[in-house]
Formats: sequence, structure tokens, C-alpha cells
Amino acid sequence: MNEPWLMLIVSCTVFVIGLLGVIFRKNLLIMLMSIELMLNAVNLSFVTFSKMHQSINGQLSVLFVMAVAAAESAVGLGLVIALFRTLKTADSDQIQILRD
Amino acid sequence: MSLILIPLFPLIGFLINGYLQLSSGVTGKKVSSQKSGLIATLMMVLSFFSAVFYYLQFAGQSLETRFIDQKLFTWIKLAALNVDFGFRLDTLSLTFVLIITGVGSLIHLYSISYMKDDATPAKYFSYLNLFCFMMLNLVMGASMPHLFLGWEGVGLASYLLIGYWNEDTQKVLAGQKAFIMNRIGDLGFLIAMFVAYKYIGSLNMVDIQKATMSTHVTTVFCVLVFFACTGKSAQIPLFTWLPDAMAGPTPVSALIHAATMVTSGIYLLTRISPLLLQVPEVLSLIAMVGVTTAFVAAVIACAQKDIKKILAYSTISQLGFMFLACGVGAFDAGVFHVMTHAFFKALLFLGAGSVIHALHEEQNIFKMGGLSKKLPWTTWTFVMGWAAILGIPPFSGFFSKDEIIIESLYSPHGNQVLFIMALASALLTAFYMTRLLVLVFFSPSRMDEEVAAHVHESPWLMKFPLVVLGILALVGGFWHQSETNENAQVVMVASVLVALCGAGFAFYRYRKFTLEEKTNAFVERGLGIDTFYSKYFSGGTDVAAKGLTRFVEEDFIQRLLKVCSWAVEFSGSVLKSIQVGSAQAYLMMMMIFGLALMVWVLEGVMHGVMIYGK
Amino acid sequence: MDWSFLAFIVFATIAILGSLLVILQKTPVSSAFSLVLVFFSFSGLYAILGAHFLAALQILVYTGAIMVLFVFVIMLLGQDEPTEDLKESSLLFKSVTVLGAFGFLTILLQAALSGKDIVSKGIYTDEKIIEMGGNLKVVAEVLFNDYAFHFELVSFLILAAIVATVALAKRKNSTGEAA
Repeated sequence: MNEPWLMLIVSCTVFVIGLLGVIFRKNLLIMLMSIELMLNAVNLSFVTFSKMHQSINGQLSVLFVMAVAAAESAVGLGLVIALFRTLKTADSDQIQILRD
Repeated sequence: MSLILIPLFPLIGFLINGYLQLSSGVTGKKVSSQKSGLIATLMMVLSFFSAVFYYLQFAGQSLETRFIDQKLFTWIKLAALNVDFGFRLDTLSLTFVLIITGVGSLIHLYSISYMKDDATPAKYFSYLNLFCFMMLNLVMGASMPHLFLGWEGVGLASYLLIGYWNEDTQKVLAGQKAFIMNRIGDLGFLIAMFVAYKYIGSLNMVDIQKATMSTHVTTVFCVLVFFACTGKSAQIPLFTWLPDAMAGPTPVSALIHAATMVTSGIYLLTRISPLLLQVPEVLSLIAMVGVTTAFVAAVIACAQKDIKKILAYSTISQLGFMFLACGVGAFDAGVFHVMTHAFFKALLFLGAGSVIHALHEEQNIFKMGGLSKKLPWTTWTFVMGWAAILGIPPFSGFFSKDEIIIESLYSPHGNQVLFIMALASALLTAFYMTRLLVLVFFSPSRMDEEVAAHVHESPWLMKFPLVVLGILALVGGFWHQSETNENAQVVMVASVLVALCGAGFAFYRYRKFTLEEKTNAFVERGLGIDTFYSKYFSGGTDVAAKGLTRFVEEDFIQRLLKVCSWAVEFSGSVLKSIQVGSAQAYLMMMMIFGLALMVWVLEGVMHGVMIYGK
Repeated sequence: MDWSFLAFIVFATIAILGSLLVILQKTPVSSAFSLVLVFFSFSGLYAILGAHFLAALQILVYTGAIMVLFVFVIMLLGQDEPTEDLKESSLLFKSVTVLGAFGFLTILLQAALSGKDIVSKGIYTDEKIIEMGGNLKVVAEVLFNDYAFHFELVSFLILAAIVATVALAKRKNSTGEAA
């Protein structure tokens, strides 16, 4: 397409939506999914800039981001499972053992 | 030989006795009155001999060269002001120095015996020596600040000595009253110093005496200095402290409140006499105040019962005479009267002390009487003092008092009103002094029996000063030669007659007195002036202080502090609510503040883009 | 007819709507499936932008691995019941956040779009990429020549993640030891 910068609109919108998801939702799994949304929005903006500036580095960054995102979601889910074993719930409001 | 020796000896005495007192306080052993008193008296005598040395030196010099200036060190050195700490000895200050050291030595000697039963005689003698040191600084000081140092110092020593028996709160309060009234006068002194500095540029006495300023400024300066003198010398309006000051030991009353401190006002006025002579209105003021004080004090003295209070009011009255002398330009006569008054008033006070001691601290003259047989030495020395104060020739008082009365009429600044009032005061003086003399010594005894049984003459140490002062009161008048005026003869005779009349009347009335006299209570309490002062001035200050405490301190300042602390607490509790503990809330806040940050950054960027983009 | 632009519109709409669905659904399972939809549309967007390798990788990694893992965990934990958590925050909180989010979005857009007219020329123009053998080849070349070290590091990272996950998720005995 002739105007790659339009993708940035999508990227920003999805990012903000993901942010709202993290802020509003209490279920841990949905929070993790919103974080994935944010990461993807950022990936999109990387690729768009790579296209706008005729560079290849943006795409390589996306590659690495994806790898990191995968690792991070694996660990995150492992945490959720570990929490669930103790607290029997995936509600972030119930995680209060350390509170006074 | 250096001028510094004169004040140095009493200073050494103060330090030695002070050390003795402090160390005895530590060890618990009392220092004997003989030991500390001997040290103190020795110091005073040495100082006296130093002064006599200078007297002999001056006697061999011509009149114009009779002064010595000695600078010790530079005291205040600022860009605009240079004040030296130095002494100036001229005929005026030498006269005072001789009085202070001479009469002072005698009183120190007397005190050794008077205070022998006291608990802390070393403290007493150290204070006495301190007083003499300060007084010597006052009269020998070459500049106004140096004089002021002595001025304040004697006020301090007076306070310490009046409240010497500090177990009794009343005595301490009397000392406080003296000090505070002095302080009020000192305000005048301070402002006068400021005026002198501004318009003369120097604070040395010599420069001040030679200065010429505009009449207004000179008037202001002289009035301020005079105000300070009324405080120190117990004139109207600042005189009510002197009767209360009788709470101190009797030798203290003799030294400080008869012979020396109260005469420092006359010294100061004589010092600035060249300036005073330029402003006749101020002189009239001084004369009027002086003679009025003399009269009023004499009236009050007629109604007193306490022997020391009579002598106190008598002092105020005689000081009024001295101020009258200054006020008519007869400064010589004023200083002469200072000298003779020192002799006979100290004599009278010490005699009174002798009586009080003999009667075991009785001070009411209506509980005395018939002491002439039992206390012969005291009686006849007292009579010599009585004759002097009445102005009977050839006693010294006759010469000095007469000169004042003559000058009050014949001086260019004098007038008949002053003359009449002076004579009236002399009449009253004769009356109340004779009343005192007769009631104490020559009337039938009204003493309690047990007191009468123990009455005995004073020891030798107390008799000797009385005798010496008696002789001085007799011959002291021949020291000074004044010009004779033909009309003066008439006045002299008149004044002697007036005195004899007053004496005769009192003699007649009290010769056979056996009762208690009912005196007018209003007059006895000082014509209500003291009451007026405490009600309106002290009372007013009290009310103001209470009002300020309530309205400013409690209402305003405390509330202000409470508001401050409330504000801090409140903002704390408001800000505390941000800490919710929920990660999502924090994320929301991060988003909002990130938004704000980006707005701020972008605004700059946008402006930059817009400026450079064009 | 600019097909790529049309495709862009379609994919963009699906992406945005899908992401809205992700955050607004009641059950985690529905959210997961909406997320898959979003990933597919993103893949399409990558393809439009000429990043073919990434488009494929997106499907493989994200939808194929990550989302499978997600759904697996959801089912394991039995979280397929509807939850009411959107209604639990206060109205003030929700409105402030939404407004703030709108503002944030505006500013973000302004920032992102401020450089849209900048004309800078890099090496990798479309023609050059085609000349060099296509997107995959170019990416591979650059990756294994310039970024080889980073590549190795990423493998390290994944190893670490594996170890961490296993350690976290391992069942423990009643005495606290690992089974």
C-alpha cells in the first residue's frame, strides 16, 4: 500500500485496548491475553516503521519480541498454575496473602 | 603611679571576697566577717591613699593643668565610632573619688562589726567592693559609654545589696523596684548618647563639654540626661524606690543611698554643665523639679515612723537641694553639698544603724527614746550630724546649704519662688530631723523592757567611723571658699533662724512624748505617688501582658500552629489514598501520567516542529 | 483498484473489533478465540506490509503455540465459566480510565503520526528486496550475519523460560519436595 503509516493507527488503537484490558479485567488469564495484545500492537508498529524507512531491522526486532513473548507467556502461565494450586482461584483480587 | 590603681583595688577586693565566698560555699565553712571585711577595707584604704596622692599632686599645679587623661585600651572601634576605655581625673572627679574612697573606707570598717553575725559576710563585702569599683568607673570615666558602664554597674550593685537578705521576698522586690526605676531613667541616658553621637560625632566627655549644637538639640540632650539623673538620684518622678531601698543593711544605705550612688546624678549634671548653661529653660526645669522634690520629700518625712525611712526621705530632700543648686547654675555649690551631705548623712545612717543594732533590729522611733544616757557616743555623734543637716554654723552643712539658698535667690537663674520653697524645705528639714533626734534620744523611753535591758553601746569598730564622720561634719565646711555677697549675710542669718524655729517647735512638741503619734496615713505612704505608680504603671503593664497572652498567644499563635499541623495531616491523609495496593489502579495511574508527560513533551516538540518546519 | 488498501481496511477492522472482543468477553475461552482472530488479522497486516516471513511466523508461534498453551491452561484450571468482573470496578474508576485512555490514544497517535511525512531512504526498498531474493532470504541473511549473537542469546532465554516454567508448575509433595 502507498500509506503504510495508516497501520500505526491500528497499532495504537490495539495497544490502548490491550491496556484497558489489563486495567479493567480481574481474571489473570484475560490479563495475560491483554498483555499479548499489547505486545502484538508493538510488533505491528515495528514492522510498519521498517516499511516506512526501508529498513529491515524492524522485522528482526519483531522476531526477537515474539521469542521473548513466547517465553514470557509460558512463564506467566506457569505462575498462574502454581497460584491456582494454592489459592484455587485465578482472580487477581484474591491474591492478598502478603497484604497486611 | 597610674590612675588605674584607684579602681583596681576595689576590683581586687571584689574578686578575692567573691572567691572566698564561693569556696566557703563549697566547703561549708563560714568566712569570718573580720577576715573578709579587713581585706575589703584595706583595698578601699589603699584606693583612698592613691586618690590622696593625686590630690597632693594637683595641689601643686596651677588650676588649668589639674587634670590627667589616661587611656587604657580602645574599647569600641567601628568605622564611625571610636570609644576608648580610659580615665580622666580632674578636680570634679577627684572630689568624688575622695568622697567615695574616704567615706567608703569608713563604712567598710563599720560593716566589719555590723555584719559580724551575718551568715555570708564575704558575699556582702564583695558586693560592697564591686559597688565602689563601679562608682569609681562612673566618676572617672572619660567617655559617656564608660560612665554608663559605671552607671549600670552601681545599679546592679545596689540591687544586689538591697536584696542582700534574699530569704525575704519583700527585700528582693525592693531591690527589683530600685533597679527597674533606674532602668527607666537609663533610657534617657541611652537616647542622650545617641543624640550626642549624631550631633557631636564623639562620645568623649571632653568633646561633649566643648560641643556647640543648635539650641533644640542641646535642650533635648540636656533634658534626656536630666531624666536619667532623676532615676539615679531619686527625684520626681523616679524617687519611690529609695524609701523601699532601706530594706538593705544599714551600712549599704549609708554608702549607696546617701553618700555615693545617688549623687551620681549631680556628678553627671555638673559634667555637662557647659551645655546646660546654654539652655536656661532646662536649668529652670531642673531647679523647679529639685526644689519641689525637696519640699515634697520633707513633707513626707514629717509623717514617718521608721528611723531609716525618715533618713531616706531626708536624702531625697537634700538631693533636691543639690539639684536646685545645679538648676540655678551654682554647680560648685551642688558638689560642695554633695561632699558635706556625704559626711553628715553617712554619719546619721551609721548612727541609726548603731541604734538599730543596740535595740535588736527595732526601727520604729516610737519604740525608742531615752537613749542619750545609754548610748553616749552614738548620741553625740548623731547630734553633730543633726546640726550639720540643719545648717547650724560652724558645721559643714551650714556652709553648703546656705550657699545653695543664697544662689537660689541671687543667681541669674534664680528667683524668689525657688528661694521661698528652699527656705520652707529647710524649715521642714529642721522640724523632722529634730523630731527624729528627740524621739530617739531625748524623750522618755518607750522601749520594751527586755529590749531596754540589753541596750549597749556599739563596739569600737562602729564608734570610730562615727567619730571621724562627726569631725568631718564639723570641719568639712572650711574646705570650700565661696564668694561673699553683702546680701548674703542677711540670708545666712535668716536661714539659721528658720532652722532654729523648726527645731524649736519639734523640740517643744516631742520633748516629753510618751505615746504613739497618729500620723496622717496618706502623707506617710508618700502622698499616694507610689500607689499611683504601682496601680497604673505596673498594673497597666500587667493588664497588657495578660491581654497579649490571651489574645495574641493563645488565640492567634496557637491556632495558627494548630492550622499548620492540621494542614499537614490533612494533605497526608489525602495523598495516602493513592496507595491502593492494586496493580491495576497503579497501571491506570501510569497511563494517565504517561499521558500527561507525553503531552508536555510533545507540546515542546510540536512548537519546535512548527518553528522549524516553516 | 488498490487491493492492498482494501485488504488493509478489512484486516484492520477485524483486528480492532477482535481486540475489543478480547477484553469485553465474559469467559476466558471466548477471549482466547477472539485473540486468535486478532492474530490472524495481524498476520494479514504483516503480509500487506511485505513482511512475509513474519506473517507466517505469527501464525506458527502465536496462534500455534502460545494460544494453544493458553487454551490448554484455561481448560486445565477449569476457567470456562462466565465471570462478572467488569461490573466490579466503580463507575468513577471506569470513566476516568476510559477518558484517560482516549486521551492517551490521541497523544499516542499524534506522536506516532508526527513523522509520517519524513522521507528517509534506507537500503531495503521493495525493489531491492525482490532483487535480493525476497523477504525471507533478506531476513535470514541479516539475522545470521549481523544478529547471530542475539539469536544465540534468545535461545538461551527460551532455555531459561523452560526451566522456570517446569520449576514453577511442578507438583510438590506434602513435605514440599519436588515430586
